[in-house]
Amino acid sequence: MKRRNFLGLGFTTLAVTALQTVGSASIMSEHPKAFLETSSDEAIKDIYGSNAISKDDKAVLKLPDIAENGSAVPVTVSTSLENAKTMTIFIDGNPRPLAVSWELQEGSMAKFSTRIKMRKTTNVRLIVEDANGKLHEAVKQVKVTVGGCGG
Amino acid sequence: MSSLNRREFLYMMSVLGASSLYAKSHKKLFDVQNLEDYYKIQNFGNARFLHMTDCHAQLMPVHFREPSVNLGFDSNYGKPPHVVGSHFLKHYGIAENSRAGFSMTCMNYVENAKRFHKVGGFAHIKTLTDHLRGNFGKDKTLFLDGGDTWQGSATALYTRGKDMVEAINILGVDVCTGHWEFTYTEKEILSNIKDLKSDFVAQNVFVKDESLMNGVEAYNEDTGRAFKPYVMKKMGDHMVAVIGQAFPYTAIANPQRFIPDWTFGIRPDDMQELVNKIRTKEKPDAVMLLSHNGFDVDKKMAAVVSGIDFILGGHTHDAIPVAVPVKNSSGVTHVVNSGSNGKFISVLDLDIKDKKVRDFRFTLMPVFSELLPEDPVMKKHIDDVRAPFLDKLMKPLATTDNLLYRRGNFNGTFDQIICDALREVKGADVSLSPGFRWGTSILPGEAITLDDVMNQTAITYPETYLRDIKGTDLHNILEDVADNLFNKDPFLQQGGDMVRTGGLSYTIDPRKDIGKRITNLQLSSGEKIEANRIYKMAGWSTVGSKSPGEPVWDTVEKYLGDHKHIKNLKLETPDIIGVKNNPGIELSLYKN
Repeated sequence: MKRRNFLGLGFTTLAVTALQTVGSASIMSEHPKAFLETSSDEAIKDIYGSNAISKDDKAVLKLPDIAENGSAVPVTVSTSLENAKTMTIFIDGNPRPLAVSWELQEGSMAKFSTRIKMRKTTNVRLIVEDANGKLHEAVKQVKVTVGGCGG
Repeated sequence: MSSLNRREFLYMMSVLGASSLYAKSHKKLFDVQNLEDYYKIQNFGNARFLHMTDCHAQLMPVHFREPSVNLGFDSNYGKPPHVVGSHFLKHYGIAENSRAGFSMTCMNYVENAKRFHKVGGFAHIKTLTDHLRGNFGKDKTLFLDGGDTWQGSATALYTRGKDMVEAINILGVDVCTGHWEFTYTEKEILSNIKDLKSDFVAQNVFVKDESLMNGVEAYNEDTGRAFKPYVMKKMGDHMVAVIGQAFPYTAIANPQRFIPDWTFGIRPDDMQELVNKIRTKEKPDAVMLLSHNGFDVDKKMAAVVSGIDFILGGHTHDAIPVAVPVKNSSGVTHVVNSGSNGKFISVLDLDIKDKKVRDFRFTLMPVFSELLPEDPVMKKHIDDVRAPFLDKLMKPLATTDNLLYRRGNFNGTFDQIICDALREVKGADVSLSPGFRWGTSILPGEAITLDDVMNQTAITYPETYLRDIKGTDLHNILEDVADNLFNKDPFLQQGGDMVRTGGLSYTIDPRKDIGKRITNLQLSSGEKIEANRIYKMAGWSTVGSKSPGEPVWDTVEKYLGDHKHIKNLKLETPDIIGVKNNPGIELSLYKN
């Protein structure tokens, strides 16, 4: 399938997913405070409790080293874990760090792309909750510049 | 056909003059006493690459002073290219005041420039590269151009890069990649690539997802790549892959408004995936990367990506006379950088056997214009391109007592003229000018022409501005640009030099983190810059959006017309902390 067509489909799916999870069902209703927290740690605690988080290669976070545009930074998240339950992105330096959360259907392919808005140079975190409720984390710093003078 | 005859070539090589013989360089290049020696040892192996990069549209021979400050820290302390001036001569065993020393350093620059004259020039380069190709075998030679080719001169700007496309075609370049090429519009870029007889390759330029959905064309709709990522080339009996890597930070360091549909990045994972795919599918005899990453970024890429034999790199304009080996998980990748402005042609000969590069020889060859006869076809093209503008371009605007140059981590003398012009003409307290690494040099006693001014300013976003700025915002700009230059992680370095400043003095500690490098920010009067006070700031080359003022060459032309003669130029350079013994600075020249 051509990337253009695939993308069209992908974006639709993404929109539906977002509605189902973020918009109504779980995160918003079960953890209403999470989106209002001002630190990633607090937001993570709201959603996932105080469970230990292991930094490993199960959570895969793809981001540029330097953002071309801080208000729309492309991000791709994925995991090799089978039947992962949720994937959530936190942006440490944003006023409201919780950016987006996906709730995965059993057997679905756990790979999503979207755009995130970043206020300044900061760490972006991905938490993947596996089938057993264990948490896996990937962290990457993205630099947001005030305007280049390179060349 | 003015091919280089043997006597002329002998003369050229014998006058280069340096004592050392580098590991893996063509034997005795800098010490050769006769032509037969040179020819006997010159041709090595069975595949030859010629590489030039960052010529910045300099069709005519130029003066180009290499930097007197190019600082490196931590793992890059004292490593080329962060070794300049007398330290460079010592590092490579090159005699002071020799041709090699003149071409690769800033030492005794004016005196040596008067002895050895100009370098580069496409008519001279054409003669040399035809010779190097014919001498080795056309069918076994590939000519690669690393980009920054369509920008940097008046005629390149006036013809939107077309003069250089034609020059590259006449030169017989086989493969190209780009950076400043992307400062024309998407339509112009695609039209120029169509006119190129060479392949234009870039693995790290993608059409944005949203643009793809809006129907923007990609080279490959499955991968989203905007351009061909690599090309397979036959060299004698061998097949060689040449991958392209465009400047990764084009959409940050240069305006996105000209190329709204394309996104860049270093993309080492995509590079590794591509190398693996090429190795498996194409079974090449060698994998070469034609890169516009910049030298330190190329070194890191060579360490984190495996399976590339050589990186022929550019962007940071470093003339490095040896190929630097970098270890990675599957072996060694050698990294090369071939200077700028048409000063050098790199010659890399490979001995390929059983799908492997067994050995190589590498030489960074300076192009001395007066030693190389002009190729008549190229000369005619250059004359034709310049003819309509010649009267305007060659008119003297002023004369100078000072050597004028740009290259170096901090203000060059020509930057100082630009900064002074912005302040005076626009009535500003302070001025900023970008730390580009291109911009040719003018010797004391020479006239400054519009051609020269354009060689410093010919960009597609030259508009000037005068605006109010808070002291704290000015400080943030300096911190931001300093971090692009001195960040510890090469992948976060954008490859430009420090922003040039007028009417300002400051102290910089390059080893500190962002936000902590710049202190003691003052107006040139000695008055402290207050965080909350408003200052009038002038500048040009705005990346974010088009500025309202006249193009900067008009500002500079007016300033030169008003002053008529440049003398006692006061170079505003910051106080730099912790560089007393750093070989990346030639302290004897740094302070004037």
